[in-house]
Amino acid sequence: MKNQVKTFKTDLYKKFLLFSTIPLIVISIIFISLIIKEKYNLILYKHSNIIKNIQYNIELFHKDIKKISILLKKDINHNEHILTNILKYKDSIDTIMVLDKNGIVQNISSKINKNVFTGYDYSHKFIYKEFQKRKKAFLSDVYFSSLEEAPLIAYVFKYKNHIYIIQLNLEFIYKLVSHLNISIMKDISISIIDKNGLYILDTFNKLNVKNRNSFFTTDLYKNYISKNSAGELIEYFNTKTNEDNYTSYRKLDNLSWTVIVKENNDIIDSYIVKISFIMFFIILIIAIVISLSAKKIAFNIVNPIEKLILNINKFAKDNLSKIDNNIQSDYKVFRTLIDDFNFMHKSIIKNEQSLRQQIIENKQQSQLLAEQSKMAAMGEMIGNIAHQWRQPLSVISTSSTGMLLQKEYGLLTDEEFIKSCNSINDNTQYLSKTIDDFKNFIKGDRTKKEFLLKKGMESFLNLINGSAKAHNINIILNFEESVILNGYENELNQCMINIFNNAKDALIDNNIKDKFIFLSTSIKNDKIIITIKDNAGGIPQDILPHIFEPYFTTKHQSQGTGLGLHMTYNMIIEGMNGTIEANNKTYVYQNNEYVGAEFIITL
Amino acid sequence: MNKNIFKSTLAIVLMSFVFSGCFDKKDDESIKIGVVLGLTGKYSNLGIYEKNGIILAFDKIDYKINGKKIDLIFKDDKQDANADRKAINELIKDNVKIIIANATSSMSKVSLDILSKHDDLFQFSPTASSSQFSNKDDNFFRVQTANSSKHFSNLVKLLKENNAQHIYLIGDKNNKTYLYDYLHLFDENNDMKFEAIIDSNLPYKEILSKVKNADFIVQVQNSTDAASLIQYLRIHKNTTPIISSGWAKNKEFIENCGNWANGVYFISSDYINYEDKGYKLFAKEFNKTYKHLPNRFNIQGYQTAIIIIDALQNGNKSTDDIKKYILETETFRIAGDTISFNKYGDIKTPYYIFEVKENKFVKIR
Repeated sequence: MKNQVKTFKTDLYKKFLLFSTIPLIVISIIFISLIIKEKYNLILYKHSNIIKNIQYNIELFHKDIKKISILLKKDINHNEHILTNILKYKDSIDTIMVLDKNGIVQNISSKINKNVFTGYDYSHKFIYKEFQKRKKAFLSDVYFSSLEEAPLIAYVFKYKNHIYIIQLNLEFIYKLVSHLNISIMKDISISIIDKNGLYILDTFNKLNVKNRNSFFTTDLYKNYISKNSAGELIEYFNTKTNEDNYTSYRKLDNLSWTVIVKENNDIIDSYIVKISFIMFFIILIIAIVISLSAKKIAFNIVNPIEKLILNINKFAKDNLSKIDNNIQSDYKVFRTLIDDFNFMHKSIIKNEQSLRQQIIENKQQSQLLAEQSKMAAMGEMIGNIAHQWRQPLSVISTSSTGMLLQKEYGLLTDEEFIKSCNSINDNTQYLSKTIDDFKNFIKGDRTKKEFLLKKGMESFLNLINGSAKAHNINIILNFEESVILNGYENELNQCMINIFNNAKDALIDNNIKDKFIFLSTSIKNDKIIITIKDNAGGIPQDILPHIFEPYFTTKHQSQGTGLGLHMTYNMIIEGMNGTIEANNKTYVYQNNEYVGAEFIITL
Repeated sequence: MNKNIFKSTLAIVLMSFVFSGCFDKKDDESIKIGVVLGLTGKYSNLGIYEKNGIILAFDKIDYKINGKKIDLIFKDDKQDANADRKAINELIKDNVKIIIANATSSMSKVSLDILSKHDDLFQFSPTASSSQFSNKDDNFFRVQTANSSKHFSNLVKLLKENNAQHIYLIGDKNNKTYLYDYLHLFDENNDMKFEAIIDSNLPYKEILSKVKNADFIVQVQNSTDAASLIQYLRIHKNTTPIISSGWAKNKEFIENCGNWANGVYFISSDYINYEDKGYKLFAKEFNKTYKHLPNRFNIQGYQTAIIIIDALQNGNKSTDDIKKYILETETFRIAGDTISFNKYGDIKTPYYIFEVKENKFVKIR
C-alpha cells in the first residue's frame, strides 16, 4: 500500500511536472522560432533596404550622368574644354568619347593619356555595336577598356548624329555603396553583377572586379543563387572564408544588374544562441520552480491522502488502534475529507460502542428471554410432571394405604405385601426416571456431543407424554433407527418442547376432536431431517411469516410469552447451524384428510 | 538495458569524433594548384581568357579529384617580374607543387628561373611560346607551340613574296622573351634582316616617322596596342604591310583597329576548327558560363587544366609522375584540338598566316 502511494505520489509529481513543463518548453521553442523567424525577416528587410538604397543611389547617379549628357548636347561644337571640365569635376568619369555615326572618333577627352586620336575607327567597338543594336541611351555592362586598361561601364547616348560614350570607372559604384550607413554595413558585403556574371562591385574582394572574375563560376551562384528566388534569405557556407553566411539578391529595376547582399551570420547566430541561452536559462529556472512547486503541490495533495489512507488502513485492521488525528492540508477539499473521515471515525467508534452496549444488553435480554422461555417451559414441564406423577403417586398411595388397611385387619399376606411393595417400587422408579429427565432439562447442560437421535426423541417424549395424554393427543412416531447426531441434545429437546407446546395449544384451542402430532426423523442428502406436524388446521397465512419473531404471539398474555419459537429458531440457526421452516400441510392419515402446521428441522 | 544504450551512444559519439578527425585530415590533404597569370593591367586580357578556361575545367570536376579537394590559388603577375616572383615564392611557401604559369613568355621565364631550382615543382604554361623554353628536359610544359625558325618559315615566305627589303620590327620590350624569337627571325636567312627595331612604347609620332621607309612591318605587341598603333599609322597615311604576332590575334584587335584591321597579317598557331565536335561541346559549355564563345586563349587555358586533371585523376601525384604521364600519353584531344607533346614537353602544331578580311581572321597559309 505504501509503495502504491509512493508510486502515486511520484506519478502525480511526474505528470504535474510533465504537463507544466512541456507546454512551457513548446511555447519557448515556438517563441524562439518566432524570434529566429523575425530575426531572419529583419535580416531580409535590412538586405532589402540596402538594395533599395543602392538602387536609389544608382538612379541618382544615372540622373546625374543624364544631366551631363544634356550639358554635352549643348556643346554642339565638341568643345574639348567642356569635356575636360566634366572630367575634372566628375571623379566617376574617366573618358568621354564622341563618335560620328560611323564610329569614327570625333573628340576624346580622358584622364589617362592614351594613344587614341581623332579619326580612330571604333566602329567595331563593343560599346558602339551595342548602341547600334539598342538605338537608345543605356548604361552598359562591364567591359575591359583598352584605354583605362581596366574593367568599366559606360553611359552611351546619341545626339544629332553623334554618339557619346562616357566611360565610368567602377570605383564610383564602390563610393555609392560606401555612402551607406557604416553600422548597417558591418559584417555585410555587397556584390553587383552584370548580366554576363562579371562583377561591377564586390566590397568583400575588390579583385573580383579587377580580375574580371565570373560570378557564375562561384559556388554561391551555382549552388544557392541560381537555385533560389530573388528576395529570399539564403543560408550558405562560404568555403573560401569557412564561414556561414546569409545572402539575398535582387535585380535592380531598369538595369540587368543583380545586387547580392552577403552577411556573416556569426553575429546573427551568436544573437540567436544568446536568445536561446537566455530562454533556456529562463526555462531552466521556471522548470526548477515548477519542479519544486510540483513536488510541493504533489506532496501537499498526496501526504494527507497517504496519512488518511494509513488511518483508514489502521482503522480497518483494528478500530481500536490509535490513528493520527493531526493530518493537515492546505486544500479545503482535503481538509473537508479529513474532517469527514475524523467525524466518520468518531461516529463509527461511538456507534460501535453503542452497538457493543446494545449487543451486551441484547445478550442480557436474550439470556433473560432464554431464562423466561425456560421458565415457561419449566412451567409447562411442571404441568406435565403433575400429569405424569398423578398416576404412579395414586398407585403408590393406593398400595401403601391398601397394605396399611390390610395390616389393621390382619389381612396382609406376605404375597400381598410383596406385590404392593413391588408396585410402589416400580412406580417410584418411574418417578425417579421422570425426575432425571426433568433434571437434565432444567440443568441446561450445553455440551456438544454425539447422541442417538431416537434416544433424544424418547427423552423429549418422556417430558411431554403426560401432557399429551392429559389432552388426549396421539403422538405418532416414525423414527429412523441408528441416527446419530453431533449436537446439543438438551437444546434440541427444548426446541421440540416449544414446537409441541404450540401444536398442543393449537389442537386444544381449535377443539380438534382427534388430536394428532406426527413426529418423524429421517436422513436426506447426509442431512438429518426432523419433522413435526399436527392436524390443528394450520397457521394463518398472515401470521406464518412472523412466527419466529420475538414476542410474537396469538395467545392471551397469560398463556404465552411469544418467545418459544423465536428461541427455537435462534437455537437451530445459530446454535446448531441448521435450518427450520414452518408451513401448512394437508395430508391423509388413516383415510382421513388433515390440515396442520408442519415444522421441518434440518441439521 | 539502459547501460547498453549509454555505452552504444558513447561509442557512436567517440567514433564520430574519430571519423570526423579522419575527414578533416582528408580535407587537409587537398591538392593545391597555383595559377599565376596577368589578371590586371594592359596584358590582362590574355590572363583573364586563360583563367576562365582553367576555371571551367575545374568546375566540371567540382574541384575534386579522386575524393581530394582541389584548391586553386590564383595570383596576379601584373606582367611585372617582381610581382611574379612574389607570387611564385608565395606558392612555393604554401607548398604548392603544380603551378600553371604564365600567360606571357617573359613572365614564364621569370617563374621558370625560380621553379627550375625545385625538382618537385611542375610548371605548365598555356600560352608561353618563346623558343627559349624549347628542347630542355625540365619541369616546364606548355600547350602553346614554341616559336622557331621552322614555325616562322611561313612568315619569311610571306616577306619574300612581298619582296620586302626594308623590314622593320616594332616590339614590346615588356615581353622580351617573346620578342626574342622575332629578333632571331632571320637567323637562318642570312639574306634577310630587320632594318630597324623600334620600341613600341615610343610615341606614335616618333614610330610613324621611323617606319616611313619600311616596306614591311613585323609587329610584336598585344592586341590593343597593336590595333592602336596600326590605326595611327593608317590614319597618317602609312600603308606599309604589317604582320602582327599571334599575341595580338584576338577579337580585341578587331574591336580596336576598326576597318584598318583589314589587310593586316598574323602569324599564329591560333586556329580553331569550329566544326569539330569537341570544340562545339566545349564552346556550348563555355558560352553557358561566360555568355560568349571561347577564343584560342580560353581553349588553351582549358587544355592546360584538363591535362593536369587527367594526370592527377590517373593517380600521378609527384612532378615526375605527372611529367612521365604526359610524355607517355603524348597526345591529348581536348576541345577540338589534338595536342602532341615531344619529349621536352613542347607541342608540335603548325603556325599559320592569317589575314584580316572583312574584320575576320582568315587563314591564308
